[in-house]
Formats: sequence, structure tokens, C-alpha cells
Amino acid sequence: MAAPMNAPLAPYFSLGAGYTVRFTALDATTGAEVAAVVISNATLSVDQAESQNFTLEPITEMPGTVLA
Amino acid sequence: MAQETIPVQGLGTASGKLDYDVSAGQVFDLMAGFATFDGSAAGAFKPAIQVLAPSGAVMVSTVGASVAAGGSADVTFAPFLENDTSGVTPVSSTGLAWAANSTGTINFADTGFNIANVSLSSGGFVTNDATVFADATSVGVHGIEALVAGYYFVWVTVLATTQVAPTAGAFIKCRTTSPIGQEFNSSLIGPWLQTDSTPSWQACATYGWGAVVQSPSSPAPETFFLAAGQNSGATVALEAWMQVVQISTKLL
Repeated sequence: MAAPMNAPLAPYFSLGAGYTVRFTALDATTGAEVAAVVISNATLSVDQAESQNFTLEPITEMPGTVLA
Repeated sequence: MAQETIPVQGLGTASGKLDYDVSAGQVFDLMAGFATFDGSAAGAFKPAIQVLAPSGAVMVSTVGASVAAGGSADVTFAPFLENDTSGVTPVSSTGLAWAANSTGTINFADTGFNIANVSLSSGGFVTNDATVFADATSVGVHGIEALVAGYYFVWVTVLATTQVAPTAGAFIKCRTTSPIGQEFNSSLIGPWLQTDSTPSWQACATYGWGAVVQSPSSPAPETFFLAAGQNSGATVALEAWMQVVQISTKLL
């Protein structure tokens, strides 16, 4: 059973096309990626920008891959 | 300008890293993130959420507390949260530390309304963790010694048998000598009952004790001794057992 943990996140970080949000596991000593850690149940909460043509449906239905 | 908060779900499962790429036409403020990090097959790690520029350069890297080897964590990344100061420790796969011993069948004289220490076997002590428990003696009486501070459950059971009709109203009882704590699940006084036509009478009693072993009021190591009493009017055959489990090393 996974234990709950909190971590701070920089507020008001605006992202546009080409940026990537990455969940990752880092080695506690070297900072290298730890491939043996399986990451799942990922959810992002985002505030949609008003002036952009944000398309919700493709994100919610097939995220995890780069949208063309 | 922010308009509404939208959950982006169904990002799938990945090993080591899980990416969400912002596609053309999308602009948003990242408000929070959540993910489960399963490190049951991994060494120690720190969960992190990163923002990468289109060039692939890491612009922001938010890192959580360390998760010990074999541990897992459900991690919430959000503004204004404080980083957990202690890491996640996986549940021990070896279970709790325990120890046990017994008396074998011994002769046990009438003690009246008193109780007397009963020695456990000199060669019957067993434990799964010799750093927590040891066989200990005091004036020739064997008990089970808790070597480290912690909270312990102690169970004592005694079973007595006699072929001499016990005095009416007689009983058998048992206790453990112990540091501070409290009783649980105890039936520490048992009556004599005729159990077959030989004739034969038996009496049984059990006693549970939650014990706090700590400094300075009751410093480790602390030895638990078994004590019993019976007032049947004659010497009886007695068998007794003691089991101790270390529930936690975390005290108040």
C-alpha cells in the first residue's frame, strides 16, 4: 500500500505547446532516473488559458502520448 | 487568464518517468499533480514532477521526500504544500518480532491466594529476532527479556491438572510481572472443573498485558516473568506458556 506524501509545486506556471510535464523517480543520491519505479494513476490539474483554443477531449481520452 | 480547472486523467503507466506533452494550441497553468510511485522492486528514490522546455531542458524540478527501498508513495504536488520531512518506509516483509517459551509439565504447590514466579524452560526459549528478545534469568527463574524500548503484547496461559478433588471454590490464576501497561483480553482466574471420570480436574487461566518498555520509568531491557497461583489444597501438574510480540518501537 502506498503511503501518502506531499510536495510543493511552483505556482502559476504557464505552459504552452512543446512543453512537457514529467512525473519521474529520481535516485536519492545521484538524481538519475530510477527505471524500476512504476508510475501510475497520474493526474494533472490545469487552469485553461482563456485566449487559447484548448481542446479537452483528446487530452482526457488518450493522454500519455504526444498529441499531434 | 485562468478560466477553469480541468483534470487531465488517464495518463497510463510507465517505468521511471511518465510524460504529458503539451500539444499545439494548448496553453494552461499547471495547478497540481498526483501520481502513484510503486517502488516495490526498486531501491531508494525520490518522486518528482518536472517541467521540460521544448528543448528538453528541465526548467522546474519539484522533488518529494525520499522513499526507502521497496517503498511506494501516493504523491500530491501542489503549491503551498510543505515537503514531507520524513520519507516513506516500506512495510517490513519479516513481520513483527516475537518470542516464546513454556514450562513443560511441572509440579506446582498450593500458593493459597498468592501468586509465585514460575520459571520458563531453560532450553525452550525461541525468537525470530535476537536483537529484540533474549532468555533472561533472575534467581534461577527464566523469563523473556525485551532488549529494546517499545510497546509489547505479552500473553500468559496456564493449564493445571489434578486427580485430587480441589477445595470447593478453588481457582488458578496467572499474571506476568511487567513494566507499566494495561491488561487486554484477560481471563486471569479460572475455576476447577472435573474433566473426566478418572477422576481428573483441570483449570485454565490466561492473561494479556500491553507493556510499555521505555526509559526512564521502565528502561530497556525489561524481563517479563510468568507468575501463577492455585489454592486447590494440593500440588497439581502445571503447564504454562508465555508469548511476547513487539508491536511497535514508536512510543508516545
